[in-house]
Amino acid sequence: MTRRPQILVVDDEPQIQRFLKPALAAAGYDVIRAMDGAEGLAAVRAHAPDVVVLDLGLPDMDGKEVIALVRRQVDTPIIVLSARGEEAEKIAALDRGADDYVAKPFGIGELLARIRVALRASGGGGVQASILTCGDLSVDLDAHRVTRAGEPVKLTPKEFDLLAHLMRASGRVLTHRALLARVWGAGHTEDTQYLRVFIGQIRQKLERDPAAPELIVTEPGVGYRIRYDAPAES
Amino acid sequence: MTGRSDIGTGTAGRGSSGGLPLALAGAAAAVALAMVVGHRLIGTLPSAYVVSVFLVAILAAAAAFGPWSGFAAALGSFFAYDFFFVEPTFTFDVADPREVFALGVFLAAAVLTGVLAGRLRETADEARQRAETLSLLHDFAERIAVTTDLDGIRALAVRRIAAAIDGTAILVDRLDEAGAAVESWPDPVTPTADELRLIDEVYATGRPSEAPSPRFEFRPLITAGGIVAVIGLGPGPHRRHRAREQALPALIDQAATALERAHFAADRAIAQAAADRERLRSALLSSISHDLRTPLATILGSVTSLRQLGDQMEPADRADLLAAIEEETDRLSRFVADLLAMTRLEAGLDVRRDWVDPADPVAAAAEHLRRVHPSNPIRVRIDTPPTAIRGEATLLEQVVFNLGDNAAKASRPGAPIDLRVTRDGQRIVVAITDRGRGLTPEEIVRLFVRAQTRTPDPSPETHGGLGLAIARRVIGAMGGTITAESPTPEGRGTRVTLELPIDPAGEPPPKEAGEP
Repeated sequence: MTRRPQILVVDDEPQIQRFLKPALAAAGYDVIRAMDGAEGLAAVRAHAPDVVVLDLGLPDMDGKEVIALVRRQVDTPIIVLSARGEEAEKIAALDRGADDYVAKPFGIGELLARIRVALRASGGGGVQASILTCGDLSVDLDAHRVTRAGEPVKLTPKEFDLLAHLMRASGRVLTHRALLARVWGAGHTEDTQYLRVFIGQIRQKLERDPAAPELIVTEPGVGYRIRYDAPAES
Repeated sequence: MTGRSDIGTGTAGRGSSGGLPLALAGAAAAVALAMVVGHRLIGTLPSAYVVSVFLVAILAAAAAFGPWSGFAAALGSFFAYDFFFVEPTFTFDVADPREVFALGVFLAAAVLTGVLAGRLRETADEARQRAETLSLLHDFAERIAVTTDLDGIRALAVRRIAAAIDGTAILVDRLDEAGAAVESWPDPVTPTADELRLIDEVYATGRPSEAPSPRFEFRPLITAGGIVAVIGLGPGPHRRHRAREQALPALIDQAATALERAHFAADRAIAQAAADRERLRSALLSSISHDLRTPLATILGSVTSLRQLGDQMEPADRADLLAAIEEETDRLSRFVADLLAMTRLEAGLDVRRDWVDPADPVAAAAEHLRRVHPSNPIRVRIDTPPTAIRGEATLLEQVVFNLGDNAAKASRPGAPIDLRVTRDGQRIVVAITDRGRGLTPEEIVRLFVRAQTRTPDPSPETHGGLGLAIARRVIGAMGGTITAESPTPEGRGTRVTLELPIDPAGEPPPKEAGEP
């Protein structure tokens, strides 16, 4: 281990900062605090953190604006903290370039999992591989072959395409719009019923219990993600 | 020539529309006067000059009383001249055949003069009436244009219309299913059941009532947008102001337009108020959800951090997380108490009206404040003997605590917070004073209505929160007021003052003579 990853936490709530700092430190990260958007942007320039954890409700500027301004400079992963029930806000944040979100209130484990996903995605390399795995699921992008626990699974081309996009995101959430645009094209970004149908079909073929899916997680009102299982850094 | 001046001013003044009898009487008087004058002249001047005296009389009658009067005067003059002045006098016979021709010319000239002059008179009358009508309407239009409130417009319209018919008018303006505004002038009038039916009918058909009620004739106030109101026209003592009656339809039209405009304005105001309420509600909701979420997020985050990562943490960090959990739980429970109080007030449940000595809840709030803000001295001073107000002790304590909590948050560590209870006449005054940074006038206005929508909570140093909205409602429900001033008269900080009415029944009985 060379250096501890740096995490910038942009949140105006002192109480949130108060527990995040020792928790993230104990989890092996260095924490930089910023109390508002301007301070956060300055810290992105000054420290080049590995991950930005950003509260959307800031006193000085809209969190979505902070995302856009960060994206103009760097592609540091941004994890948004937002309230439950504010799906439109989350989607807007993801559209502006945020990588993922955690709904408040959250357990520290959830945030740590998102941070690990974000660090792995930006670590480079992994995304280029032609065989992606998640638990006992393996997806061979070149050969268009999917196996679950060694057993081959037959997917239609669209189903495969959809699964491949979710796998490539390796645990990050993908919005309905983003998935529809990539798999069906820009003309179908409103056709969320396609997604429901195809995700349902994939679950039928892949999940042990399609009624209680473990691999493809639904983020209600926002999109889908592949469940990220930690031991993938081989 | 004296005749003209006599007759010209004699009766021509008033009486624009006195009717035929007056016209004939006027004609008779004019002819009689002409005869008297003619009789005086007949000795000194040739009889032909007498003719001109009669012509003047005809002219005067016509000018004063209109064409019919002129015509009657012409005929009368003809016979009178023939009878009294043409030989042989006192008969209608004519001796000189040349006189027959002269009489014929006289008759023709007389009738022509009379009728023409009368017409002239009528035209002048009409012009004057039109001018009067116009000025009446103009005046009404000007006044009603500057009247913006519904009541004012209704009152003005009903007065002017009553004046126009010189009688009683009643305006019925239906607001909704529930009721109608009724305005009458000059006498207060309550519509009878029959009249209400007629008004319903006018509202339904948009046409004047066909069966006239014994008291009123109901007409619609109507615009392009539909029926606006109904006006009842009562029979006046004498409806003889033609100018004003001519103005009536236009007055009714103008009143309709003005009322419609005021209705629109009132509807807009209602819609505006609804929108304001909605905005306030959503601001309140976002503020509530934020105030609930932040402590919850802190508690959940701290607990999960301790469970998962506690082993890797320094003891000091663990202790701080536990302290954070405790503080946030306290904050949450206070907030829930606020919310319950708010919900209770929203639901229309009244504040209990117990006897409360305000010193007690103030002392209790001070105790609570000392626990939550150990670094700020909480100084309490009660400058009033035991007094009773009507209210609910726990709510009052909550209000004083909220205000003290805000004050402490606005203060530096070590800066004292003063809670002082005094008496001002029949009111108890509770003042909460801090020595913090103070507030701008704008912040004071915003103090009680938290209206930010995007950015949730202000930094903890500012006054704010649900507490103040509740404070105002609770104090209002106890019949009191709440005000804020900043800086205080001492020059800095903020003072929030509660004033609560003393219930005289709760005062201790006056001391008996001889008692210590």
